[in-house]
Amino acid sequence: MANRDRLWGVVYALPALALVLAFIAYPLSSVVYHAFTAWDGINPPEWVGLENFSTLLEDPLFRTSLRNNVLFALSVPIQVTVPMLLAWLIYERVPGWRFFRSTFFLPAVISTVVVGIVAQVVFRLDGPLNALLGSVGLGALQSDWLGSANTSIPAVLLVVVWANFGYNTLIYLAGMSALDPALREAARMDGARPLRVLFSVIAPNLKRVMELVLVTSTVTAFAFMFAYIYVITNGGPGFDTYVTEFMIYKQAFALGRTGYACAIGLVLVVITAGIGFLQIRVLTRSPGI
Amino acid sequence: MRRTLALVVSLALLAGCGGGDDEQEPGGAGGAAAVATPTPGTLDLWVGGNFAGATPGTPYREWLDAQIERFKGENTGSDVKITLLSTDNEQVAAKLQAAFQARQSPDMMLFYSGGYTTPYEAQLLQLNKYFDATPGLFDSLSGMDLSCQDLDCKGGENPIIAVPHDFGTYGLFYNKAMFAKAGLEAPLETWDDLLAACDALKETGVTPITFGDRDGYSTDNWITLMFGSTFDEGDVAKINAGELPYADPKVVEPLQQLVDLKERGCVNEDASTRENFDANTDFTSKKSAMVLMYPAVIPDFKDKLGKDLGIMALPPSGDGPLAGRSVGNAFYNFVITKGSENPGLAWEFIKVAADKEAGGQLLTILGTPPAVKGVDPSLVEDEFVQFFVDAAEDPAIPVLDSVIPVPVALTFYKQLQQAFAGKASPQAAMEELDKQLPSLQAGG
Amino acid sequence: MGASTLSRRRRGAHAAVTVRRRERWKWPVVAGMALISASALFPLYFLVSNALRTNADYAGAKVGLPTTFSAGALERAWEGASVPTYLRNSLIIVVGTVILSVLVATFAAYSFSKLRWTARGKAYLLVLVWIAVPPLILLVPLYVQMVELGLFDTYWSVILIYTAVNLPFNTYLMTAYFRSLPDELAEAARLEGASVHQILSRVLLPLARPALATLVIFNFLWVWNEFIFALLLLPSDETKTLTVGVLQLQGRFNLDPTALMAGLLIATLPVVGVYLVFQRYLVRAVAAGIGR
Repeated sequence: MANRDRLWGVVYALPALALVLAFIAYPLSSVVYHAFTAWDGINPPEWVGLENFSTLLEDPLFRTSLRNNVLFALSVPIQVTVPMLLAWLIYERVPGWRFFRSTFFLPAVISTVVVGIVAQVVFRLDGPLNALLGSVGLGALQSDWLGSANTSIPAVLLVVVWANFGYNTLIYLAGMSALDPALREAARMDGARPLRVLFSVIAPNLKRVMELVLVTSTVTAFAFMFAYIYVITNGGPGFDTYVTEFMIYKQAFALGRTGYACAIGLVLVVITAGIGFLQIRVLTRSPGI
Repeated sequence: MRRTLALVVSLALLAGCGGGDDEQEPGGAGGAAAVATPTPGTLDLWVGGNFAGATPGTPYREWLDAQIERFKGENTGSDVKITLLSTDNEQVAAKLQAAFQARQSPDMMLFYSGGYTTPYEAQLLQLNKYFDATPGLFDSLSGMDLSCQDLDCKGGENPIIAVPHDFGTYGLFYNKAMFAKAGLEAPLETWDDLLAACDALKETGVTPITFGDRDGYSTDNWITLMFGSTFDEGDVAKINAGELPYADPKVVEPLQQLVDLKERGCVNEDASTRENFDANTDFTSKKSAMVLMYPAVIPDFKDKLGKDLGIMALPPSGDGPLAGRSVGNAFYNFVITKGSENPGLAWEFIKVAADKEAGGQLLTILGTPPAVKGVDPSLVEDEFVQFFVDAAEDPAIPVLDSVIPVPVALTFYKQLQQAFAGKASPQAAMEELDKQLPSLQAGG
Repeated sequence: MGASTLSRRRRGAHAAVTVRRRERWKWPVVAGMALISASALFPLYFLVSNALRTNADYAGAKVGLPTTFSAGALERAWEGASVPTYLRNSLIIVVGTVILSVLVATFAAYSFSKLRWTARGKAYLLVLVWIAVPPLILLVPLYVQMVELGLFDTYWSVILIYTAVNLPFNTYLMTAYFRSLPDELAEAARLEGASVHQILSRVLLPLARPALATLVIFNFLWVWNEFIFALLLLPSDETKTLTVGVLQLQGRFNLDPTALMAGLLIATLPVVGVYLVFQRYLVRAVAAGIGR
């Protein structure tokens, strides 16, 4: 029986392993190689060793980009807790829960391009957001949101959180549905307040789900911001909303510094993987997982 | 030197790891055959820039299809297949880098000239022998210099890598009704006239000039024209070669004049966050009185403003030796790639697309002045197209950002944007550009 | 609340008390959620209203209702983005990718959660680790690879890439879900003589409907909206996706923004439709899971 498992264990895992090795690991090796070259993507590459990396360390644009990634990662606590709250409210069937459940996921359904175009319109100086602020007496908050670094990063952050909360809510919902309903009933019988039920009873059992949301949100802040920046601000104003992926794209395809871009890509992968694993380590160490 | 080395190394590598890639070798025995009668076949044409939007039903597609039809008529059994690249330059670069790495080559491309074509030089066929076999063609085209190595054809002796397609420059479109209301007469003759016009227009409650400077493009459009008022002949080449710094007064003074324009209130407040094209709608929706744009917008502007649309030359902003003449060059050019299996046939198509009839159709269908000279004047429909055709006669200097390498151009735009937005002084912005030049030109 | 309420509770009428308690904090919460819903619906409203407006309307005010209803934008978008052809392509690619993704991820999850073999942990890690790789940096190497494999400009190129790129996430989700299903189920089936394969198909999969539905929705959306790989790898009309085709209209954006909006609307409706359908199924599956 154990032998059977050993054979089939490998066989069932094989397709996944084959696919990731063939279409992620292998092309990544090309990126790794070219990270050590001076290359424009057209003419043959020239080996330069660690030069790209030393340039990177001193590149102020890289520092700005990485800093922005970190700033976007600050939204992770919100992205982990708020969807859980919303999922639970839906689960507990607040009035209108069916409607909420349907609509919450819509931002995730529409493509980032649409999100970006809408965001550009909404955040304009003469756009609906400022109009709304003015109409509720918060006129002092009106500004050219995408026009300065102080406001453009929060604006993009808001868009990213808004676009993704549907995903996380759905994941939490699926997780909650797998829980033993007896848990809830037991807590309810004790007359516990609903919020307490959530935090003391439900949440501890959703640790795996929280871990998933935590890791994916953090990874997104570092490695999946490109589309948003590209469509909403194009890195601007100036270079203020650059993120590392965006810098990679520009270096490779606008400046023809593809070798350098590969080096940045390599560094980004290492950083993202590092943070991801640190999180998982910390989470799996704590009891109850 | 590095280019030659790269060429030698790439040929060696290709010979080593690709097996005999004969199609990469254009010269030698293949040369004579290529200029003889080409074999019929289907050519791959990749199109970029505005042509990337050439979906069926658009005027760009109409022009392309018309030339393909003529080509098919003269070359029975042959056809041209169009692939639309992206309108986004970086996506095009991604596509081309990937395609060339994968040894995938179109036969020909029609895309942005100058600094956008030069990165791919190593992959492009030299066209000198084709020009030699087609007497009269070289002299019939204007702005050839951008199509040659080092941006200088030396009368056809330098390697020619492209065939210019059009002539591009900017004109100051204005709203006649708004001018009348402000008591202004066009054309404005001097820079002071422009400033006075701006004040008068402000009085009537409209934005005098509209800028869409999120990417620095508006400032760039204006300043590259204004260079015609401060530069000497050959200064563009000098800047490109690094012999003239960007922090030179010839560059900084016009930039300062533009910043002053903004501070005077002549330009829309949100100029620095609006996209270039987005700002055009201010003009077409009658919120502003003037906008500096190129010929491609004529149909839309005419459609929106009707008889209120006017055009004039940007008044000279200085008194340099070339002041008063037009500034411009071909924005697009045709190239044949070294990977083409049928370069001779590709040349046949390009000949068709670059002749007077094609040029005439460019005027009538797209309203764009062609690179080919001597097009039938009766084909010019209106004063707007006429304006640009006239500008094509005798340009003084090319538009700077068509010439400089793309990395430099992009930083140039960014610095212009910063200066115009008031985040840096013109002098400081240009000094910053000079400082970054060495690393921008390093490339790779 | 007072002593009377407490005594009522002791009399076993706690249900009434709990309801009243819940209602007290509910209304601001509901209002907040309604606000969120409104913001979620805004982009669709934006697309629909602009798809029906004229360009003049749009130039006047970016957000607003049409002054005159015009189907012109929709027509121009439909034609300019060759909707029927590109729609077919998108559907084939999405369905193909979703099927392949779900299959491969489920097999791997089964292996990593219910089957015992030595390198299991390491293999699981080997699949997950790639989540840190932004697909963007693999763009050009994958393009070259596809050309070398002869898959360039075919559906398979993107189907394989999309599946691979999403495997880390998909595998994690399925594995976590399977792990949450008690081992006793598999044990019991094994004792009854079920084969390795039957345990998966007869026991685990039927229980995994919520996770499967989640995977289907997530992957469908991701693949449908994916742009940069589809743009580069599927250039010809026979293979181009709807998303790419619609964004080609962006070249006209400056001259014809309502056509672009209409195109985006056309490209968005299928996903909204699929979502609404699957969302109901998810409800049933979740309800079945809870036993209500």
